[in-house]
Amino acid sequence: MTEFEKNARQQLHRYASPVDSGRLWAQIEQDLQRDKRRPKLFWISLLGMGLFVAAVAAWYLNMGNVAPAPQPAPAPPSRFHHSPVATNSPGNPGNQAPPVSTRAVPGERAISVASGHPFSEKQPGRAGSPAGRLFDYTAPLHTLPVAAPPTPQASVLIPATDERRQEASTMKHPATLPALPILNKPLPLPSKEIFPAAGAGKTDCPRWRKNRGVRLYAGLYGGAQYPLKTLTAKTAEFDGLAQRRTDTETVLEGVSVGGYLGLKHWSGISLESGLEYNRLAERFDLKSIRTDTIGRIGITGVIVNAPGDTTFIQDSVFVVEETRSVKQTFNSYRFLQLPIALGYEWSKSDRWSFYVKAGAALNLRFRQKAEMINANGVPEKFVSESPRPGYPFRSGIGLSPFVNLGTRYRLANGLGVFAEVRYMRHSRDITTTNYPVRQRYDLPGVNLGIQIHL
Amino acid sequence: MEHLIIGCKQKNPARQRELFGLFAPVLMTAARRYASTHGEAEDILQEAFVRIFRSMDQFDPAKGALEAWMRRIVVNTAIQHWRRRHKVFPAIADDYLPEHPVAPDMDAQMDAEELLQLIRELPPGCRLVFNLYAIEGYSHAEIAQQLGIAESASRSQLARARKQLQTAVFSLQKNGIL
Repeated sequence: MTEFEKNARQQLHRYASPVDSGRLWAQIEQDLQRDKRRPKLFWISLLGMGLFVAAVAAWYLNMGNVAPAPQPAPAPPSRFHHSPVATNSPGNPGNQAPPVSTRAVPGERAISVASGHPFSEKQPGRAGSPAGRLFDYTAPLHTLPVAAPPTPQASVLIPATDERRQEASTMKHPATLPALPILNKPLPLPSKEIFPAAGAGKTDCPRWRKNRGVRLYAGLYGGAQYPLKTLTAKTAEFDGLAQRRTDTETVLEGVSVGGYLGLKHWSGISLESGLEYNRLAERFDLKSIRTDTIGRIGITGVIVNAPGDTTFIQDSVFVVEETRSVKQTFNSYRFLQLPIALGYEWSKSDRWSFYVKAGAALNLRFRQKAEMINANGVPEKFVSESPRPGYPFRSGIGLSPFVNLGTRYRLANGLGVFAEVRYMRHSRDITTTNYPVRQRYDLPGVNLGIQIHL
Repeated sequence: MEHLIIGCKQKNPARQRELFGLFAPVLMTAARRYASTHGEAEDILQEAFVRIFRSMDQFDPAKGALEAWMRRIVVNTAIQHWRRRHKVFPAIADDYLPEHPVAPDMDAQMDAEELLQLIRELPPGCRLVFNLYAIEGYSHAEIAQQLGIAESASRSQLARARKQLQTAVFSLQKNGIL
């Protein structure tokens, strides 16, 4: 270390430079205050995660307690598959002819049955029945036991089996059987709940359809946006400031994370609200070029007097040194949003569905931190927590309309993942009324998330 | 001073303000040595004080003086500030810089502001190495480790800084300023 350096060190270690204490301390104090507030956000995030874990656990436990779907009751033997009773058939051990009355009973109507119908076969030798005549339904003859109406989960038509045919062939004398009222009344139609109407949501599970009301659901999502920034001067006087800011500020990205609760009607209409944290990042670049002219002693001429005798001419020369520097600062704008949206969802298949949502978000601006060119043309740092007259930022509230288009994939009953594109517009400037430049954002972006039915 | 340290460890705003008022001017000189502009020096000082207050719990009076500890934080902050702005350490061009004899008491005739101005006129890489070596007392090995450069690069930057300072002082002397 040279003497020059030693003395420089002693002088510079003792020297007290002038400092703008008030302004610097104000900025330091803001940074320290921010540290105190940071743990609150941490606990809020932790609480949110805890709620999410609790919701997933509740869903999982609820899935374990769901009663198995009731087994369909065994269908009674279809009366349409009984073999006609023939007097001479081998299956009729009694070989007894059913009593047939040829007299029509008042109040009953005669029905002709087409040939080929099981009851249309001729019954030769039947007592009281002319040979070749069709079975006469006008007489109160055979009355088979009325089958119980099918249960909602049971199918109506049961395929005939050999067992049933044999059972039918061994049936007792019709006279001992109860009356057959089947053709006097229309057959009961299957329940509509079994066969949903065409076009109905196929993602509806039986439990969901059973309620036919509203369901509560919750979701979490994260997303990214590409902020479209608009900087416009309020008066022509500040066009230059707006232009300088446009030249020095570059939008980077926006990120968001949020959760929501919603109510969904079985028709597909939903109403939901939630909470979202959104941060926009930008970069401030200020390039400056500093030119220094440094005087040096250089050789400007050479005179050769004689071989071996050379004279060098020294003189001052000036060297222009250019120093380029870039000042780079990362700016951030933070928002807390309370969105409220109305949506409609329709299903393409058992797993996939599409939806559209539209609404507005209450937009709370806070912790705007940026370095930018001020009205004097020099870079200055601004933080929203310390507003002064003419300050560009201040915490405030605005309204941001948005629309989402998305698709959802059902992973399991009540659990699905979704992806959506969203377009949100800040309806108010994030800068204050007194600041001469408007700063506003449009936020196209995508969100990915999961949703569970509670 | 002890009450200041205890108060700052307890995050007492009044004590923090008092500490800032006491040491800001001296530490501002350190920040100005590393910065190209006054605004940049204020940024370094602000960031350094925030770090000082955040890490006040780590200060142990038995291990050294408070001012020296705070000055190290300012230097580290300045180095990080420099790294953010300069991704690549500038190379030294091998140009001819004649040696100039400097009068033994020449530096004594220069006040602190003049010294600061001379140091500020150095190229950024030379200024950083000169400050770390000549003013802070780091070795070339320590400088190389801090900046992620070779020791030879640190030596060549220092040599360039010294020659440029010599030339500047000589020029001032020749012009009758000193």
